[in-house]
Amino acid sequence: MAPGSTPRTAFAIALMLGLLWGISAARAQQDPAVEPEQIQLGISTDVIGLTSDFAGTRIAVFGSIENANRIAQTLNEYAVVVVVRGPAGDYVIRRKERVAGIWINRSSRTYRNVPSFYALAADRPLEKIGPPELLREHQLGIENIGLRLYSSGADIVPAPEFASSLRQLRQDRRLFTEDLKGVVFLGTSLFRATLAIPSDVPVGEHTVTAYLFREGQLLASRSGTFRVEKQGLEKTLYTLAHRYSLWYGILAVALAIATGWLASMLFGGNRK
Amino acid sequence: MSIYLPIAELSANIFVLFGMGVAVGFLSGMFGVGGGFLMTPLLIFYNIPPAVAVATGTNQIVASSISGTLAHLKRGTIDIPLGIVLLAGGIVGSGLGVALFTWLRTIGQLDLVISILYVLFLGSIGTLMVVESLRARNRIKAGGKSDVRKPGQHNWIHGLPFKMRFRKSKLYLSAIPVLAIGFFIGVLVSVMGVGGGFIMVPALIYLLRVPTNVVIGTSLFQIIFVTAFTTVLQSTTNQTVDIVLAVVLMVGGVIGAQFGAAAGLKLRGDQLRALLGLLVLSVCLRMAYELVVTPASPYSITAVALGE
Repeated sequence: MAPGSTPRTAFAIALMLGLLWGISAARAQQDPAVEPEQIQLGISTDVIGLTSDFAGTRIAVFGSIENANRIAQTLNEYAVVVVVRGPAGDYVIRRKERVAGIWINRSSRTYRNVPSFYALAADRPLEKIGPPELLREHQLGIENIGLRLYSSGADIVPAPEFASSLRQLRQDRRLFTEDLKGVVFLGTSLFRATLAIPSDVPVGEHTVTAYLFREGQLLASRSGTFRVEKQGLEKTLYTLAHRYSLWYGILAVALAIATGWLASMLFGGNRK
Repeated sequence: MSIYLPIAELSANIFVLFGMGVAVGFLSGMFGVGGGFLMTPLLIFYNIPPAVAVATGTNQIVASSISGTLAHLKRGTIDIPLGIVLLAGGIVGSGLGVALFTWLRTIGQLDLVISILYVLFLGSIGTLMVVESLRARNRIKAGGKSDVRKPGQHNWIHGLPFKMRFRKSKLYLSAIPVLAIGFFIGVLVSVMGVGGGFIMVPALIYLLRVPTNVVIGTSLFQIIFVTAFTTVLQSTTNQTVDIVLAVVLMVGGVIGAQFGAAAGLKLRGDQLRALLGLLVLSVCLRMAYELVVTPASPYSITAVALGE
């Protein structure tokens, strides 16, 4: 979070908490047996700006369970999972092999529509939340992220090591994370999820989904979004480099000529 | 303090990068070389993606070659027509090199080819330098001069057609070998992120018999244009030139070069060549080590855009 936005964020959080309390208190008055449980969520920020000094941040996701059953609450039966998913992309995984003493990329697999970022927070271990099939269906947990092998014409033999290496490489860079203590209940029906956003978080629209489980059943889910974007000079340069690459190249050369020329003016021609 | 590099898409320590610029600038000022063959490997060792290191290195060389060229221009030690013919070959070579670079990148072999080229070139040139400087030292001990001057004898190259007259170099020479040298170095510029002076200078001296006093100026002169052209080409084709990184390196580089030039005056020619040779060999060994050592993980991941 940028330091300048802290008071505003704090205000937004306070407002959100107030609203959520209000909603859940009002709903709790009604007959809880009739209405099915719902889940609400609010995200502490709409935009994460990548500036030159961005070193990662944390986002808070607040939510509440509506129409909660008192008995279930008391027995701590409601489980909450919050997942942030970055824009999907295509990835090539390559494997090096030793050829004549040198490590060379030999074989590769391509996966399509893989989330570029995946951060999961839950309030308990995933196996206590739902059956494996359900977790797989909703892609909850790093092991359950769907990896679709891309084949162009000929069938590609699936190699499980490639998929597990993809998961591992993303985890090493903190781009796939799982925090099974990341969701904390603030009351009986109000919760907060804290998710770490690393410094090399991909740009684009990220989806935040909160899932509500009870006794191995998915009761409700709800999504929101936030954007990650380069800001300031970085944004200008990135856009320039990709959209007006010729001008960008000319600018790069002009800067180099100016620096070199300035140096010879300043220091005199005492170089070879 | 970390700085976000918008093209490399990672945060790096600005002081480390600046320090690298100063260090390479110092060495290039001291030895009178461009420094690209040190800068690009250093950036790769510092985990800058090789594609970005190569393209950004090319950009940085433009800056470091300018002040040298201006000095030579003032002294009149540039053979401009010769430079232009070299440049014509260089531009074609650079175009082919960038195409090669793009292709190697898509098949996932770019990093490997960059490393192998560095090991081969740095290894052979470093060895030649060390051997040559040891010989020069022995000559000095025997009471001779420390500098090498080859007599202007003719070789097969001087029998080729399409002859041109290069007044400043006092040469009447076929354009073919000049274009070929320019072309070959142009390819290296775009694939390795070097200026190519370390090959251009010996090639001009030993193959074309260009007089030593115009060799460095002419080489620097054409390096500016070839690296500038390559920078623009890399920007438009691969989007791998990181301006933020380049500026930090350039500023460090031109400052370091001033101190290096002063330090270089205190050493003898053969000592300088021996030191530079050892430096080149150590970078080569480090690169070779990375090629043969078992990687932490044999797997690597690259984002690609397949479209629909």
